[in-house]
Amino acid sequence: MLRFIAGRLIVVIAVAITLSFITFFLLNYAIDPAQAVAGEEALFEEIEQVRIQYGFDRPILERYFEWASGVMRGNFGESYYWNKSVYLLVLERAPETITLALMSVSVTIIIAIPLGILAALNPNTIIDRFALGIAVAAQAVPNFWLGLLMIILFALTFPIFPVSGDKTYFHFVLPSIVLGASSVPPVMRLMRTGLLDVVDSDYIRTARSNGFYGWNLTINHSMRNAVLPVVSVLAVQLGHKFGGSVITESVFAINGLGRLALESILGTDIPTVQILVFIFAFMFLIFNLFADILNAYLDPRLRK
Amino acid sequence: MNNFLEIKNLSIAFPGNHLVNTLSNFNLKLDKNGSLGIVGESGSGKTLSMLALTRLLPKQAIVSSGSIDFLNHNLSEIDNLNFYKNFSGKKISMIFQEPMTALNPVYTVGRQLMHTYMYHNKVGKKEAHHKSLEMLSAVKLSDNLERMKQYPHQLSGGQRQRVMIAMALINNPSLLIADEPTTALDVTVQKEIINLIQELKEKFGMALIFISHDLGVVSQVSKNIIVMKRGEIIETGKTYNVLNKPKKLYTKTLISCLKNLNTKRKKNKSKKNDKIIEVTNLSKFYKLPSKLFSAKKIINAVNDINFSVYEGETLSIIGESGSGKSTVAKMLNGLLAPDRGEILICNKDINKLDTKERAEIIQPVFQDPYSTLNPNHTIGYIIARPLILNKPFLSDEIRNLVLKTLDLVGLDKGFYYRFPNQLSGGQRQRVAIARAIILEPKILICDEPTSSLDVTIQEQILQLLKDLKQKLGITIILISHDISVVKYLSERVLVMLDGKIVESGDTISTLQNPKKEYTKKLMSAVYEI
Amino acid sequence: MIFELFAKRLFPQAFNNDLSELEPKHIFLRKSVNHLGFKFGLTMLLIIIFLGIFGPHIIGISPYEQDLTKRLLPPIWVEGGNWEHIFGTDGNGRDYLARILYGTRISLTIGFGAAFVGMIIGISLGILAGYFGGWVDQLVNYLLTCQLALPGLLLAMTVVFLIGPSITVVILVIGVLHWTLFLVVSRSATQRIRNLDYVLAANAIGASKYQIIFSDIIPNILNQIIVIFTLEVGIAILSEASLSFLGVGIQPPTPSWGLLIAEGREALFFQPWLIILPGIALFLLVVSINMLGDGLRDITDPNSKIEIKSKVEVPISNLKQNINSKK
Repeated sequence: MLRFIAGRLIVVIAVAITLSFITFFLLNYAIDPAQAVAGEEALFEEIEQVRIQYGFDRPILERYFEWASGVMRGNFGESYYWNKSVYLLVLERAPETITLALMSVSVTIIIAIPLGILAALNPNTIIDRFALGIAVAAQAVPNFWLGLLMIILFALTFPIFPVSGDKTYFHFVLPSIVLGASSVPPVMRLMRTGLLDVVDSDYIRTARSNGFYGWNLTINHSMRNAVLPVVSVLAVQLGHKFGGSVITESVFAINGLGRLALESILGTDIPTVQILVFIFAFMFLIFNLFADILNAYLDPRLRK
Repeated sequence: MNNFLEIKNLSIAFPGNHLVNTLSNFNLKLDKNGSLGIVGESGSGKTLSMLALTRLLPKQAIVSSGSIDFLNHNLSEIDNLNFYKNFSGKKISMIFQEPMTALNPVYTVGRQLMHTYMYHNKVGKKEAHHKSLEMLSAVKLSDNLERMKQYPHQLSGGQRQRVMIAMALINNPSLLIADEPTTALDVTVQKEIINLIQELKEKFGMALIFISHDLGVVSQVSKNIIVMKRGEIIETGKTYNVLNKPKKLYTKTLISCLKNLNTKRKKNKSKKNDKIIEVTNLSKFYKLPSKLFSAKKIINAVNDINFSVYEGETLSIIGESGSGKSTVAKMLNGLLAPDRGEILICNKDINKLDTKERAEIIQPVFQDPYSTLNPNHTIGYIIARPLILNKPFLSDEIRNLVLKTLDLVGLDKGFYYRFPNQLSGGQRQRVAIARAIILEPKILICDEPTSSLDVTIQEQILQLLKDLKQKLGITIILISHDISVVKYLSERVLVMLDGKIVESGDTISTLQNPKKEYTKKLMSAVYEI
Repeated sequence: MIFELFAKRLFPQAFNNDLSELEPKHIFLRKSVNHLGFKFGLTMLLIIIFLGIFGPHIIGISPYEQDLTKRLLPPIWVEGGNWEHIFGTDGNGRDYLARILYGTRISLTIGFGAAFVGMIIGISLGILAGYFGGWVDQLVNYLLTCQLALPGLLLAMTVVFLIGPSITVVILVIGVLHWTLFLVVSRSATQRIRNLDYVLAANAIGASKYQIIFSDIIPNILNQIIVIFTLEVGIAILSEASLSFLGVGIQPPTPSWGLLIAEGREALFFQPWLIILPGIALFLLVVSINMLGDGLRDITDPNSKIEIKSKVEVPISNLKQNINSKK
């Protein structure tokens, strides 16, 4: 088991390094960093001055290593746009996004898992059709549009939840529903097909031939097998929630990392964007690592 | 209502789906402690009848008529809940064909056994644990305290089937239904499992229903027999009577197919032609995919073997799964490069031959008729493909040659524009043979060419191979685990075990008077009628 | 109904009652006629494509023509709407119907274009990894992990914004970021097919790797690829809408649906149709594509449980006679 974790950890670190490298190069080649700092109307001389002052004239590899060693020591660099340390900026905004991500994944789990189980246990019935219908619809609804509709609905017709801002947990209810809804289709479908496959399997036939039936059969003999693929996809979805928070945060005016990312992009603030891309990617890798470990715990065949 | 088990006029239908075989007017009587065999080819409804008894039928199936009396209960009057609680696993147990998938992979053997016991008996964990251990010893497994903590994937096929049996018998049922319990196992293990089932039947005083496609196995195990075809009972009666005085045509052909395959042929004239293949010191290793932090495992699939093949003969390589026989076949065909040693075909190294040249010397026929043909090509194109690989179009000449070859393998012209999905298993295998012989190769390598086919079809395909050999003077290398097939077709035989050749020589004398322990074991596991 | 009539007219052989005579394409047709979602999705998608191509010509109003005297006119079903502007007008007095119809083209172009780019990348890598295995597979797998970890939307936003938004750039960026599903599916399908007997047989008759890949592998993974392609078109359309909504995709005055929704945000509570209408258009387009994709998946899956049933139910007693007569 330890070996398994260590092996996975090495892959995570290698991928993280590769990704930091890719984003650094991409962002530094897509735009001239000196021009980004100096602004769009800057004169040629001003840009050149900035280039020397900030050290952008040095080779890109050298700058990458400087940046990377800084990141490892917790020094994320300075934001030219916000005139602030990126580290503080991230620390300030992170709690909102973490709350949003966790709450939205909870919404996904609460809706998708029971619906998937019910659909699988009653295939080709109205319940199944209803669940699949929800999946098809949720897959096609643009996130931001759903958010705006919610705002119209809850601001005017049913003023139960606040529609803008991030002061209390109540403020997060609508955004979490919007963000969580987009993960319902994949999770529900996987829960459904996973359980359907298990129900059709030879070992469930064995259990049935031994007299097991109903919920006992589902919970004691099928669930653990059926939930294996769901664990992985939930981790992927949780990872995507961080990167995907951009839209929801901007629609519901939540001051989180997503909104920070959008504002930094519009302000061509490369150091912030760079670190955010890296953090989101790293989060994704960590969640997947946890999912792998959990799966290995649940499925003895993976532990070898 | 005095019988132990009686099924009357059972009919099962699949509404809407006309492709699936149904069951009609199935009747069965069985005494307490009795034994019954149900024989039939795939799709004959033999399993369906028993699934109806155990209420494991697929959801689409509908029981359209019939009644089942069991232990003085009319089962049609018993609702599902009552049935699951009082009959499934408690009075009627069933074991299945695939030991690889029939146990839940995420739970330990012990948990699965204990749950099954505790579910039907109000007992604590301790007692259930004790009972499970007892059952594991009853099915002759050892180290059972350890065994309880193991997961199914850590056991071999035979061990899993024993665990399955232990689980089926843990609640002391009065009827055991075994659905092809040995088909997925190796020949030598098969014998052990069958003996075990028979022994436990006596020990636990159960009735046994044994389902199989193998007439030989069934006749060994059961006193009464039912022969089925396409959902109907063809013949039923005492095993001895049915085998020796079959009344129906189908039973007769079934038996004659088996007998044909088992006829003892005269020894061949030992006229030796030139060597066409010479294999020296051939070895192949498989490295298991190396993971981080674990040493590479190396498996000797083929370990230093030597043999020759003479022109115009049929040589069989026989062995169980994992013996390396298929690896040898692939290397002979040039589809796999050997790690050591060399294969000379017509005095040329097979791996130094140009692929086109190689194709004209040696061609394969594979086992699975359902994956041997590209589903997107027409039969005509599949057969012509070896000829047109480097030509842009089909000439009339090639077309005529394809039609001639179709005729040679016993297929009608009409198949030319068909697609593989429109053909039966036997027809597909004929197409595969046509594709292999169209280049007029010197050697044909047949890797289990008939083991996925029903007995009657099997005989036809083997007959075809025999005819082709005579007409075309082709050399055949036959890879098989089935001794009757080997006997039927080949003149010489190699017996393989764990990547080595254990014994070799003339088919008749080697198989009738085996010298090595392993060959003896292999031969004793064959049931003849 | 119409669908069935067409299918029966074009391929009468497919509706033959002897099921063993059906060719692969006939089985496809037979199953698709019985799949409601597939028929619905296909029909709706064809209608939307038709509207996208011919709609702007039919109504004959330019989506760019401003008339500041006619700003924010309501649509026809709201009080004060008139037939001149059926969907009303936007904040600059442009006809909203014309803008939405024109937006169909943008969505379709970007959806199909980006999915195509992703498909080329994904399939090439997938077939390479699946066919050659070994270190090629491991390398591709590493690439896959990297791609999956990257926050796609954020990266797309950044790159499109920094390079400068245009339809081509949006297509390329979305395409380059959406190939993972193609890769995963084509790789596992290739791995499965590579070990099938007909590939070995092709090897044995002397076919080259190139011939095997193009003649044995690609045609047989095509079904699965088409399914993924349709689903990816939907995903790409939604991605473009999101980018445009955030202001880092298609730029005004081009009428992208995402952009229309963003522009309508200013009048969220007073002219909600400005948001609702393009959203519904987006939803309908993506729903129809997804239903088509789901339908294709069900139909082409060899293990699918859709029956190839004939309209006339054959009674079971007849069936028995059939079986008997075959003996």
